[in-house]
Amino acid sequence: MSITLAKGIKLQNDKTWSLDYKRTPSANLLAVASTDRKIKILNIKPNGTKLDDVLDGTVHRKAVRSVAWRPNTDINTVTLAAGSFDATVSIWTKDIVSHVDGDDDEEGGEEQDEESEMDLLAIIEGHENEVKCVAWSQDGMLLATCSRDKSVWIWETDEMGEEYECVSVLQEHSQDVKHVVWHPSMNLLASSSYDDTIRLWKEYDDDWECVAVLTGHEGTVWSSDFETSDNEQDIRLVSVSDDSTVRIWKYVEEDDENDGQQVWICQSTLPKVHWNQVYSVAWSPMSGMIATSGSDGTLAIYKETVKGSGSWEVVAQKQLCHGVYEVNIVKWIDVDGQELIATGGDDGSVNVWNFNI
Amino acid sequence: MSLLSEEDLNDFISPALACTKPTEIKRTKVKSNVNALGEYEVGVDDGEDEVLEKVTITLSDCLACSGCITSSEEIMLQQQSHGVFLEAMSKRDITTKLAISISPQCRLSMATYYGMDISDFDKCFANFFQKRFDAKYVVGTQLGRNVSIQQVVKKLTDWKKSKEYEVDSRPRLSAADPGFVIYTEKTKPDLVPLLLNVKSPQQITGALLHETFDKNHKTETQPDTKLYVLGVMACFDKKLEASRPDSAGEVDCVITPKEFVAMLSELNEIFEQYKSPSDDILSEMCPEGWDPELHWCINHGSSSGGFAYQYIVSRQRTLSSELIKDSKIMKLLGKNNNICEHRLINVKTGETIASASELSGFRNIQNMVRHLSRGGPKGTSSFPKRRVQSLRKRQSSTNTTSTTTSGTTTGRLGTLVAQPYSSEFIEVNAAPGGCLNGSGLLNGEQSTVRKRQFTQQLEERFHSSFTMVDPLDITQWNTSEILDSDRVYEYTFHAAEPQDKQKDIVTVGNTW
Repeated sequence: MSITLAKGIKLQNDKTWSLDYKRTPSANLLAVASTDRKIKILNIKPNGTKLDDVLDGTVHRKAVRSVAWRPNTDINTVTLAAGSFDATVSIWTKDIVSHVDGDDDEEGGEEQDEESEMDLLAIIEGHENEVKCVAWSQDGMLLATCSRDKSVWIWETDEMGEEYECVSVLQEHSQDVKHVVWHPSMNLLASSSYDDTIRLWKEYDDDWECVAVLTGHEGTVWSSDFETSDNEQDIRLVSVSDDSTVRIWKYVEEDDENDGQQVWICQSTLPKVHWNQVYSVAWSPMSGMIATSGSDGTLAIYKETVKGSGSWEVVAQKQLCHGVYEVNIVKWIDVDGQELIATGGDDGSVNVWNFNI
Repeated sequence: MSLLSEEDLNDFISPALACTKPTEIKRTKVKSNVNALGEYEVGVDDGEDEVLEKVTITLSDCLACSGCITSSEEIMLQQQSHGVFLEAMSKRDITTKLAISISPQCRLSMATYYGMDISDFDKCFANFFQKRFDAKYVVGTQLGRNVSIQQVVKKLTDWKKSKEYEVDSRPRLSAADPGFVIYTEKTKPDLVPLLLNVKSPQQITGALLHETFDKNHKTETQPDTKLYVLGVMACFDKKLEASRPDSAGEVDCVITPKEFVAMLSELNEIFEQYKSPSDDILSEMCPEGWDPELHWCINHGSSSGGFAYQYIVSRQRTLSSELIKDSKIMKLLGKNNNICEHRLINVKTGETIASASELSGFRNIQNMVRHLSRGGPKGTSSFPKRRVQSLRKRQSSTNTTSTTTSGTTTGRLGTLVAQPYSSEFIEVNAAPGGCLNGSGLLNGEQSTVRKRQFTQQLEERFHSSFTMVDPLDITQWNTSEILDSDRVYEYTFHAAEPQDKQKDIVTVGNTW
């Protein structure tokens, strides 16, 4: 099993912080967040990846740290949320006119000089300082944001994605919150923090409550991801940390003694690949495999020997994916039926990898 | 030992990451190691050390800070703990008398904690302070609250008739919650003009205690006699309020029920031992001229004062007798349990005659300040109008249709849902659920779910635990002798300078 580079694109000199992917009928859009404040949209095509759009770089005054496509939108609309170190979150949108692929090539990739096709829809203020991550719930109606101010905010929006109302301010982490992610089919939120814990949040009664605290990591938890599952009783989460470990957590049951609380256990720690901070993790919805990337420049792929068993093996790894630079983000991307991997690094590149079983 | 722990906090305004109090460092002059020729000299240490003064933070500094607000435990406890009270009592001289005021939320919380009913608790509480600390007055806060409510009603009524209202009809916001006031002064200075400047029951009670005391005891023979006022209040923000410069001479120290319990433990006292057999203790401790029962009562409306509700009641009473018959006060719930609206409607026409709302908790305050800032009369908007194109008109109702897990749907029938931003007045509380969820109360619960349930239980018992009075009806209580009807009790608000947002607070090397 090998990992080979399908396409490497140097987008800017500054760090690539975050990636997010969305398939539309006419394009495979990869949004890129960078220190240079200009969000870029790539169209990943088997016959050639192009720079599709560059968003207005004056909207944010500091680095864009996180981008996320809104799920469940109208088929002709794409909406993107972006969180920035300037403490705000911007919302962008575009109507896609679906046309034959050939027309795309004619338009050309030199979009930098033209006006961006995506329009700024809203700017959300509230956090006190750097926003570290933004994430949409599976129905696209809730947006979670987290920040160095130690809080996680949940915002509710309408169909248009124009108006945002704060539904909850969750201040239970004791340190910087690095990452938030929603379960792919339930309104369950996981937040990862510099306080070495992961907290799970669910709506209960009148407000959002922390239903579990996952402790065990011996360093900052940088990122987590849920396993794709339709069974509400079968919930698993993978997390990665400064302590260089990759851990799987499993939901056990509701805690009858404490209203609304859940019981979780640490099911397993994956075989060791990284020796330094692991920054990003992605659990493939298609294959069930897990990909991780970290400061050592390594991209690792793990497969569960028997699904659900908690026993994993490393099936592939690639060193120096972005040269000597740290790899901040890894994502599984489904390009026209084929599952590829995208990574972003401190070298300012976005690399797309083939993974051959 | 901190009496306020992190577990107590949720949906409260939390302290900012960086304290912005500028550190003042006083140094002695340092001898330069560079001599006149520009050469670096290595000298023998002659013992002249730099002396750096230790930086201390006091409560009034805290008020000057833009970030640190509700629940900032370390700083508050240094200055206004029960330790400070005990020390003041030990140093007290013969000419200083003691008065205690206690809010109804504290009485309910403490009575529950000690397993007593309210009247037994009140007597026990008064007896304790009389015997142990030789207190002169022990009072509840209803007299102060009556005055506060009356002044709120008057100011709102005057405002509605004023030119100011024509220019800016955005709702006025209550200033009775010091956490919210400080938050507004320091982080949302553009909303300071919306604060309705009437002091809280805590402060007015303190002022009235002083007025009564001075009138009756500050004589020519005893010109130096003083009153020390201790307030027992539901949360730590009330300490900040008592420390404001504009609150001088009203309340000297504020402690919470949690601290009261700790204090008794430190003093090796058992509260129950002070149960008073006699019913007279309360009238013994009543200030001269005060109705002995009034200040122990409460009024209808929210358990945090009832300002919004009483305003609507007063509006109804001022209607013509015809209209009163056709009018009705409705209570509308908002999108969550911490928002509601009291709406006076004409049942025949469906017209809204008046409206006042209650709103609490940080998540709701966030939405409120964003909404109010955007609708500013000067057009100042927190949403910079960049190249935003409204891609398509939003089709129908602007109300988002959302169903919470509790099953309440806010539908497209806008009239049945609380609309606080269209109210004339919003009673704002920082703590979600108001004073009964105060961080200083004795609820002993850890999880926020349990805390909410406990607060809910207290809420249900609150109105039936006390005697009711009508704060708008002056004839019901004869206080013309003690109340100066011309006196207004107002704060001096200080809106912070608009922060230069470009300026960065030095972070701790955190760049990711």
